[in-house]
Amino acid sequence: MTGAQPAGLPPREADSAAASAVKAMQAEGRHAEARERYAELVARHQRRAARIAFHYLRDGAESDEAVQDAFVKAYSHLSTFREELPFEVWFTRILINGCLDRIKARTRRERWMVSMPDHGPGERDFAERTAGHGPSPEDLVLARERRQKLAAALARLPDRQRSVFMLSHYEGCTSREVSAITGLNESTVRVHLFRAIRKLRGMLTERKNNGPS
Amino acid sequence: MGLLNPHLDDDDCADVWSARQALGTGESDRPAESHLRTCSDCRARYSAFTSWLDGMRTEIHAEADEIFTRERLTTQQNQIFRRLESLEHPARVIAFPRFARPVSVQPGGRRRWIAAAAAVGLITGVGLGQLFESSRHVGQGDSIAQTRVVSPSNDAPRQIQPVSASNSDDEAFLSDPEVTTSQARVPDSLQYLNAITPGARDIDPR
Repeated sequence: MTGAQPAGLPPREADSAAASAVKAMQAEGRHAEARERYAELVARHQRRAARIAFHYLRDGAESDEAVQDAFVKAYSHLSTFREELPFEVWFTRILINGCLDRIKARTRRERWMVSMPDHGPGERDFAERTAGHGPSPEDLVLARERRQKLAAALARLPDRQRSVFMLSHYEGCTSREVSAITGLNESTVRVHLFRAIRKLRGMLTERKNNGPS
Repeated sequence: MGLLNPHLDDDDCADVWSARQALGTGESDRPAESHLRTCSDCRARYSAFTSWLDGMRTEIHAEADEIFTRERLTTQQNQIFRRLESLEHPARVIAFPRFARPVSVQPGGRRRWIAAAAAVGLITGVGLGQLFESSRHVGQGDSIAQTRVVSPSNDAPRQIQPVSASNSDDEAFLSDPEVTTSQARVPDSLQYLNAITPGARDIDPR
């Protein structure tokens, strides 16, 4: 979906071809070549992976680690990859499982630790964000407020609905792909998607009507 | 949407949108599709609904992209490849310090001997300490008694009349120690000395 792909091949086929080639190289012990070829896949899916991880974790550093872990894990387990499934689906499943594990670990940790003051999701200093010729501080504050509301509304969705909505709407996956990633039935995916939108609409328009809380 | 009101509400819009999204097509099998084709108001409402959703996606993507800049992604990619390289060269444990002998756990018998020796030493020490203390107390008592005996009295020395041992019999000797002590035989050379020093019975114990 993102990143470069070999000319003449649709992204899915290009992914599968690259994954199969890396798998074969690994089996033959040509590790340097395998890594070089794997770089194609990393470049193509990295941004998308970062977005997905960030949607789940809402923390830049942790998302960074989750993405790295997912790519390393995918590379080291490429021998288990089945060509009939798109690489993107297989990899996204690894990534989401990693993110969910991290959320569980974080929840456990937060039971025992006092949280530090919130510096926003990107951990960037306000001065750093406002420096230069970017949008005005007011615009930034408003955008941040909007995003926080949106993130809060998404966080209030049940896990499955959130995953389905995110994959369908943000990442443009079809219900079949979402079904393969999440392990849910296709019709269940559609139901979850509908419910997620209805809830979000209710929460965000209600907030809009009620004004900022 | 119903029989009386054929127009689309938010739920109908969500239903149509999710059906289209799931199929990945521009049209779905939902009953509202036919109405959407004919009603311009509902098309406008549906369009506003999809704009709201698209705006949400843009917002979310912009937030993530703001954090994951090109530089950050490049750094991330480098880290991924460093980790992949390290997979092929597993970490080697370096023996350090090189010539140091490994610290082995002492055998149980040896430790038992050490413990037993320490216990014996402790008991002996405590016992000897007690013995020494008690003997010191006894010695101190004697010296106090002796001190009392030899301490000078304010009373004037009395004349003690030595009694010959031949005058006393065994019965008197055993039954009356005072008489016995008073009648103790004093050699002639010490008679004078005996006369000027007080006897044990002459000293007031207070």
